[in-house]
Amino acid sequence: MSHAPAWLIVPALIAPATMVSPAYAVQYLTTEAAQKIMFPDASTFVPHPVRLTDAQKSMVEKAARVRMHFPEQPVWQVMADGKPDGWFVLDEVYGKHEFITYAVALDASGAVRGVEILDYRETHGGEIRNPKWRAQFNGARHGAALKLDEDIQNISGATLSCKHIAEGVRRVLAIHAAALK
Amino acid sequence: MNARAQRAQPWLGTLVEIAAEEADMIRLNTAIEHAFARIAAIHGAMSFHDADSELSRVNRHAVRDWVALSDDLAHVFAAALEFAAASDGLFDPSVAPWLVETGHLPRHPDMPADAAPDWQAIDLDGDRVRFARPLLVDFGGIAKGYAVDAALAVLREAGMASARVNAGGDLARFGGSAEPIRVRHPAQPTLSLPLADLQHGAAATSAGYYQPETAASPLRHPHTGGELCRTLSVSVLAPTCLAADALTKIVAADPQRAPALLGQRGAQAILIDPSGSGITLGDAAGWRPLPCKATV
Repeated sequence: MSHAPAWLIVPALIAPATMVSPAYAVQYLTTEAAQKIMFPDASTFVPHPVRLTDAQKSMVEKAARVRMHFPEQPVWQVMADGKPDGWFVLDEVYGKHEFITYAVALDASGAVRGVEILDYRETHGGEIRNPKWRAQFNGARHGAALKLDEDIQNISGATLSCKHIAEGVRRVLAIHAAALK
Repeated sequence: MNARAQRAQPWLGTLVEIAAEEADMIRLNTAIEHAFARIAAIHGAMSFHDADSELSRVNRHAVRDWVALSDDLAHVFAAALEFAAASDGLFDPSVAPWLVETGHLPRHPDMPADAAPDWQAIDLDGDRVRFARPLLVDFGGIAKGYAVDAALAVLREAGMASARVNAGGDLARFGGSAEPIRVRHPAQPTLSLPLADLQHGAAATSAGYYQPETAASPLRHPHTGGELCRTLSVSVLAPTCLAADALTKIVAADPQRAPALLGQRGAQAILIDPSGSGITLGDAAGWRPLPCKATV
């Protein structure tokens, strides 16, 4: 198969001022699919939701250097060959533009085995306010919305997601130390 | 009928998304697993943040003696020096001291505090390197581009029908039908604009969005230290993601000099400047406004 570089530049296409904000969302894995991928040898996942006491909550906040908004955390104990094999912890982080659901797999000793993103959502948006910027697209038909299909996949541009996930994983490790040991 | 899988994990300081298509679901999942493992290994070798990474060992010791390099790091050092030489230092892997100063990169207490940018002080000899003066090297974007290329190679060798790897804006793909690539609007980063239909190849974007307005931009002009890309977005389409990423820095630093280098690499650049010239396309033939087409 030939893999010679091939692309076609799309003539600039932009929405007029009345454009509504898009919502970009992608689901990578369901909870069940993430469990299977992160613990392929597991036989069962036993729900083990954690509800931290006030004392545990402040322990976690101190150890992880992040605030906990909810004292509850969805957790499953992973069983393989009838023995505990680790923990599957579901968590969420959000920033100014993003809302991310992800899972942390911990092995039986509490070390991180992996992190998988389940859902990624961008919910905020805005209008393009700079009139000069809009003016160059005066040929575009007003009222025509930029096509923002459900399947926007290839957005080229960095985000801050990682910092929030790193903080979240730190918090999950502190929860393990406080409530799952 | 091909099965399709799409997953994302945090690596390289961003979210890395891998999608692939292949008839056999087990082969598909195994290949994606291996591609993520390749990214994890490159992340481990080239992290500036991690004081124990291979790159951090180089930054600590290369001013005193030769340091042996893994194949991956030797490849990226060679590519970085090639781009630095070809652009007279517009691309410069040694500007990390500026980024440490502004807090974009961490300060490691046991690394030279007197390091200053000087890519010509990097002495690369095949699979070993030494520094002629104290330096801090950070491959940043091109390490990301290299990781994308390497992960995509794993997926190609595993026989996937089509695949795509996207590391927070550095992306590459092959196979199947062409897919639309979008770029964030530099003034409204939650909006995206269509950039190209990509069949096979890579795209990378550098822009200053998602930086707090009061904070300094992490993109700096290598000769002057001045900030780049505050409201500008630079995208490059190229045969490899490493080249695409390196070329975004060169285009941002000096658009007038970029066409020759873009031509050498078989690349095209798209500049989006909301406060000025609008959208322009650059390649071997120079810069020209991108015609605007209305569609519904």
